[in-house]
Amino acid sequence: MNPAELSIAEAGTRLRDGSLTSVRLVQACLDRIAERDRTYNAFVALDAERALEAAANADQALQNGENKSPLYGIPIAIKDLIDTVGIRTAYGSRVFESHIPDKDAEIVRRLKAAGAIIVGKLDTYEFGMVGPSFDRPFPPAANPWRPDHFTGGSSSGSAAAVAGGLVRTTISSDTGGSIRGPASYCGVVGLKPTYVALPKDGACPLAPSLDHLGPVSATVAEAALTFDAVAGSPSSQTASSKLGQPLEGLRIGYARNWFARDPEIMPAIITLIDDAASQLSLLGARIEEIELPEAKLFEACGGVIVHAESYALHREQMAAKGHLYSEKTFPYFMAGIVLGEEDLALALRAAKRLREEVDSALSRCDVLLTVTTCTTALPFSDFQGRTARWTPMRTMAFNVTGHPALSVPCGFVDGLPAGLQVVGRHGDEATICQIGHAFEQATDVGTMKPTWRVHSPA
Amino acid sequence: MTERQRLTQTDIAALSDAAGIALSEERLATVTDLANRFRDSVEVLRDYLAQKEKTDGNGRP
Repeated sequence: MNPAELSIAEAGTRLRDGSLTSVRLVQACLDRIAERDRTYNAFVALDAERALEAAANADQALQNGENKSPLYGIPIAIKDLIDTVGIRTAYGSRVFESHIPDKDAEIVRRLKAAGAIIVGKLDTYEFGMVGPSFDRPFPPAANPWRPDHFTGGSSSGSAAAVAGGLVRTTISSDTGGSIRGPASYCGVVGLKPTYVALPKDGACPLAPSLDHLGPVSATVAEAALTFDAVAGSPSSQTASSKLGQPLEGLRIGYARNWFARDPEIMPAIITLIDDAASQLSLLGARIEEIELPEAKLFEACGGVIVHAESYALHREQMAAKGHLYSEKTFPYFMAGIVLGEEDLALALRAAKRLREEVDSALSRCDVLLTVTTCTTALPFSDFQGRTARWTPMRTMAFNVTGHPALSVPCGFVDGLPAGLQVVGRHGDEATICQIGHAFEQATDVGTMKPTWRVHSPA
Repeated sequence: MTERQRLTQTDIAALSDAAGIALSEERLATVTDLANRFRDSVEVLRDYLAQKEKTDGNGRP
């Protein structure tokens, strides 16, 4: 078996028993990237030499029995919005095309302390805002299930890299669905943790009130392991602490009306989520339909916060370097000029009320079940215009409220994947991972991988 | 939703001039459209909060 296909747990076992070296594992990932990434465009920068050097050091430490961390010697890649010392970090923009940070983001520092090997940086929509754009220095990442389709964003390279078998796990960011959307469109797992569960120092902010960091990974267990490695609070319950526990007695609030009445949803996706709810019921959970405030309220609230905060962050830079922004991105930052401090304060007040309403729903059940994206991935040809096109999702709500949310693959529509979303109480990554993992184990959806072939653009 | 006056391209051009941010004709139309959508979102939230406060019946902010 190609070492690049081993799960983190499998690779870790082999690294510790000496039947695999970190150098061989990292080299297998680099070989995969060399073979496939001309098609996927997931990586915008590689750090092969230092990765192999770090892997050799990890092998030495493992031989000496020095470290037992689950990520020790495991390759990982980082979204290009997150600073990495000595590796170009362009935030997906021509504005920062030559930017090489002199300091790691705190989350990268923690990964390195846990022994993870950073192999490179992953494509992102420009500053995490909108895309795909075709006038940036980097071609947009392609969906491994159908490379003439987009991945969603803004963690476009993260989802492409994991779905394409280039790495097993990544650290990404999510301000309105940027982890979960691409995970759904690409058939991988995305975990947006509780707000402020992971440190954001050294990550390029888009809207600080909504920004979250978290993993995009091949499986729920690997997302949980990645989260646990960087969460840093030994007293809190780890995300992987309930993996494998039975679902008997758990109450799942099924927010079906919240997405099924959306005129833009694909009917086949409603069927997939209904089937997933049935599967979870068969596994012992109790499913009850639950109502949430209208999705448009969360969207409006998140939209005002994103655009008020991002305009404030980009105002001076747009005055000096606005011509370097992509045609799609610039208007979304600029239009925030009409949102003042009083509008932001109003939106933050609304966010507090919406959070209370979701908390109230979660007082009647353990988790919420809903959809991640209302469609499967769209072809690049749908995004050729100068203005951005939004695709309907149900993700922004939990950036507004800060609740942890997990996207797990739940099936396919015409060969393209879709994801379900499990939402938990604040600080309870463990239960959403428990449910996501149980669903994954009970179905064969997560085991299906895109067929690799060299893609010839039409 | 509360009725409000639409922002025009002239309004947006004046705001961008005041902020010292150059805005091409092509970008101006898109920014104006988005700006109006963002203002509409503010009104949606204002209505939501007003309704919640009415439901609370205690003037809770």
